[in-house]
Amino acid sequence: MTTTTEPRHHEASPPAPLISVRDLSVTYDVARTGKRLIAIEGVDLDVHEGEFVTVLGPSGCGKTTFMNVVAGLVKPTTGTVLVDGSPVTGPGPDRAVVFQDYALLPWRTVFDNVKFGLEMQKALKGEGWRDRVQEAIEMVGLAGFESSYPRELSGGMQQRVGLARAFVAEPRILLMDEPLGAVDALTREVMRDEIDKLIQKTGKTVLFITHSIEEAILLGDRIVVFKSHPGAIKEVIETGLERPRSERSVQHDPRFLELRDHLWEALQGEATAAAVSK
Amino acid sequence: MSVTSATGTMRIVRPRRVVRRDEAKWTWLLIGVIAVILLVWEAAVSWLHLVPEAFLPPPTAVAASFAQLMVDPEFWSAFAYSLSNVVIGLVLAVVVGVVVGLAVGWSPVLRFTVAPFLWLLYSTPKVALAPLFILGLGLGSESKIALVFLLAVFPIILNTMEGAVTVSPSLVNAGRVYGVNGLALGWKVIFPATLPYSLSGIQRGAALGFTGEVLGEFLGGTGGLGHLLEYAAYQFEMAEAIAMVIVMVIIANLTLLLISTLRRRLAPWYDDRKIAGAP
Amino acid sequence: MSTFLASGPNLGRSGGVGAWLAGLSPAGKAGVLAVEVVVMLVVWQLVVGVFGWINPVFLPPPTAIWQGFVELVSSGVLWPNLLISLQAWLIGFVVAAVIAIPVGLLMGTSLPVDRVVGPIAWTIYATPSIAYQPLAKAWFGFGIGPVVFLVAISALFPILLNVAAGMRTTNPSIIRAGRVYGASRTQLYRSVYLPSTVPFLFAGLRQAVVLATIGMVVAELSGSAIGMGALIIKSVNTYQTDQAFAAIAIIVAWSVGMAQLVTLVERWVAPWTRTGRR
Ligand SMILES: Nc1ncnc2c1ncn2[C@@H]1O[C@H](COP(=O)(O)OP(=O)(O)O)[C@@H](O)[C@H]1O
Ligand SMILES: [Mg+2]
Repeated sequence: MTTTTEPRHHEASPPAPLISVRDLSVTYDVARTGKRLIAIEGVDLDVHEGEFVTVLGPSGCGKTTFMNVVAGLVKPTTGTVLVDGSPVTGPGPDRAVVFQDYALLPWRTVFDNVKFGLEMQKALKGEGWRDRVQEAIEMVGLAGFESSYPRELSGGMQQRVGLARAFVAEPRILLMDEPLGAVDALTREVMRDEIDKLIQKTGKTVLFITHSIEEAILLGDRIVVFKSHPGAIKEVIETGLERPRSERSVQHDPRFLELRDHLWEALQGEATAAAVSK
Repeated sequence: MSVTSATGTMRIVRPRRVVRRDEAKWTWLLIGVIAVILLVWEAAVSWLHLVPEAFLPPPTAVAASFAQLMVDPEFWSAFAYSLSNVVIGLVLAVVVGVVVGLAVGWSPVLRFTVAPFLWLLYSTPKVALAPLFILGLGLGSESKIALVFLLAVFPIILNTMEGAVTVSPSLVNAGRVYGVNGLALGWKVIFPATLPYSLSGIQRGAALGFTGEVLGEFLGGTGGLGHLLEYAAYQFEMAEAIAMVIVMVIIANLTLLLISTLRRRLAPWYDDRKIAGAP
Repeated sequence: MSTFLASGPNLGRSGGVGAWLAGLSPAGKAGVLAVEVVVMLVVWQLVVGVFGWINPVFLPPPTAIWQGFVELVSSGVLWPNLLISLQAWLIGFVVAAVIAIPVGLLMGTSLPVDRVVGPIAWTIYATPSIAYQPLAKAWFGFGIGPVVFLVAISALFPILLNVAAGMRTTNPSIIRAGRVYGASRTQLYRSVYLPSTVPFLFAGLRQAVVLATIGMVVAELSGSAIGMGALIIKSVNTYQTDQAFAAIAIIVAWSVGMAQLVTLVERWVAPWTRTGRR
C-alpha cells in the first residue's frame, strides 16, 4: 500500500475519480469491553464526478463508518481516501452530509438551520446569502415554514431541512446516510423521487446509503453491496436503467426485476449471517 | 445525565461508571488533588498560621477528632438514636407512599382528584412545619419520626405514581393477553415496572427524611447526631464539628449507594436515563 | 402537569367518571379542579373551625390563616422579616449561579476537571445541606451570613451538575453536523454545546429554587433571630400557629413564584423547548 499523497495516475483516458478509496479499514476500540472491533476492512472504491452511487447492506455492516471516513469524521485505521486527488484529513466544504436522524439544531428555526453551513464557513457576508437560503428552502418545498422550529415539523419535513442545509453549502459531493430511514413509507417514496430530481438537476456526486433494495436500484447509477463481519464490499453492480425512473415505470422492467432478485439473494445471505453471528 | 420526572424538575442521574482502561488514571488524579487540598489546608493552619486554629482546625486535628468519635460510646448511642428514628419514619413513608402512589397512579379518578393536592404538598417546603411538630408531639422521638415520615412520603408517592402512569399500556395488555389479571397483574407486571421509580423516590425521600431528623434534633431534644453536631459547633469545638459533618456526609452517601445498588439488583433491566422522555 | 394528569394508561377498569374526566376540555378540567379546591377548603374549614375535630392550634382553618396573615401585615412584623429572607435567598442564589455555571461549563469542556470536580460535587450534593448549618453558624455568626451560605450551597450543586451533564450529553449527531459544516472549535461551543446545555441549565435552576428554599428555611429555623424562619419559630412558641401557617404560605408562594419565573425566562431565552404541534 502506498502512502504517497500524490494523486494516483491512471491510464490517460478515463478522468481521475472524484472519490478514490484504497484498501480502507477501520477498527474501533470498544471502550466498554476493551476489545477491538473491525468495522470495515479492505474497501476499494472509485466514484466519478456526477455519479450517483448507492451503498446497500444489512444494518451494522459498516456503511455509516464508511461514509464517515469519506466525510472526514472518522480517521481510517489503514488505507487512504482521496477526494479530488488530495487525502481527506477532516470535514471540508466540498462534502456535505445528510444524516439519518436529521441532526438539526433544535434551537434554530428552519431558516437558521439552513444557513448553518454558510455561517460556519463565514460566508454570510454580502447580500446574496439570504436569497440562496430562501431558494434552498423553496427547492425542498418548505416555503412558509422558515420560522418554525424543528420539533414543530414532521420527520419528512425535518429531513427536507437537512437536504436544504446540505444543498445551500454547495458541496461537490453529497453524502447521505439513510436519509429516508426514519420517515414513513409514503413520505419516503415521495421524497425519494424528489431527491432523484434534485440530484439530476444539480448534477452532484452522491454517495447514498440505504438498506432498502428498491431505493438502491431506483436511485443509483451503481450499487455497492456491503457484507458484514467484517464490513467489506461484496460486489458492485451497474444498474443500467433509464432515467427518470419511478416505481411504476420500472415495475415490469426485466432488468429491475433481475436486479431486485439478485440483491435479495445477496442480502438474505448477509442478513442471516449477521443474525447468527450476533 | 438529566431526565424529566413527575416531580416537574429534572433529576440528574449520576453517570454510570464506564470501565475504561484509563479510569485508574483519573482516580489517582482525584486522590492527588484531594491530597494537595489537605496539604495546603494543613500548611495554612498549622505551619503558616494564616487562619486561627480555633476557627478552622487543620486536617490532622479533624482526623484525630474523627478517630475519637469512633471509639466514643456517646457517639454510637446518638448514632443509634438518629438512625432508628430515620429508619422507622422511612419504613412508614415507603409503605404509605408506595400504596398511595400505586392507587393514585392506577385510578384515573383518583389521579384527577387527589394528584393536584399531592403536587401542591410535594412542592411545599414542609421543613417549615418542623416547629409545629415539636409543639404538637413534644421533644422526644415521636416528633422526629413524624417529621421524617412527612418529608419522605411525598417524593415516594409522586415517583411511584409516575411509575404506575408510565407503565407501558402494551405491557399491561401483554399481561392480560396471557391471562394475568387483577392482583396478579399488579404483582407480576405493574409492581416490577414501578419498582425503579419507587426506589428513586425513596432515594430522594431518604435525603429529605435525614434533613427532617437532623432539623428536629436541632430544634429540640437531647439525643442524636444532629444534637451532637449542634452542641460541638455551639461549644466552638470546630474539629469535632467538622468530624461530625464528615460522619453525616458518609452516612448520606452510603445510604444513596445502598439504594442505587438495591435498584440495580432488583431492577437490573432498568436504565437510569430512561425514567421518562428526553428533556 | 395537566398533560401528565390527562395522559397515562387507564390501568383500572375504564369507569364512567374516569371516562367523563378524560373527555373534558382543558377549560372543563380547570373548572373541575377549581371546584375541588373550593370543596377542599370548605371541608377543612368545617372539620377544624366548625366541628373542631382537630385542635386548631395544630391545623388552623383557612379563615384563621387569613387572619394570621392580616395580623402579620398590620403589626408590621412581616415586612422586615420577609425582606431579610428574600435578600438572603437572592444573594445566596446568585452566588451559587455565578460559581456553578462557569465551573459546570468547565467540567463539560475538560475531562480532567470533570473527573476531579465531579465526584467531589456529587458527594456534597448527596448530603442534605442541613449538615453544614452548624458550621455556617459557627463561622458566619448569627446574622444573614449562615442563611446566605446554606442557600448558596443548596443551590450550587444542582446547577453545576446539570450544566456539566448538559455539556456532556450534547447530541453527538449534532456535533457531527457542526463538524461537517465546518464549525471551528469556538463556533462548535457557541453554536452547538452552549445552546444544547440551556435546557439543562434551566432544569438545574428550577431544582435549585426548591433546594435553596429548603436551605433558607432550615438555616432560619435553627439559629436566626430574624427572617421568615425565625418568625415561624416565634409564632409557634406563642401558640399563634395561624401566623406560622400564613408565613409558611408566603414561603410556598415565593418558591412557586421563583420556579415559575425560571420557566418564564426559559420560554423567552429558549423558545425552541416549547412544545409545539407535531
Ligand atoms: N464509535 C464506535 N465505537 C465502537 N463501535 C462502533 C462505533 N461506531 C460503529 N461501531 C460498530 O461498528 C459496526 C458498524 O457500524 P455502522 O458503520 O454504524 O454500520 P451501519 O451503518 O451499516 O449500520 C457496528 O458493529 C457498530 O456497532
Ligand atoms: Mg448506519
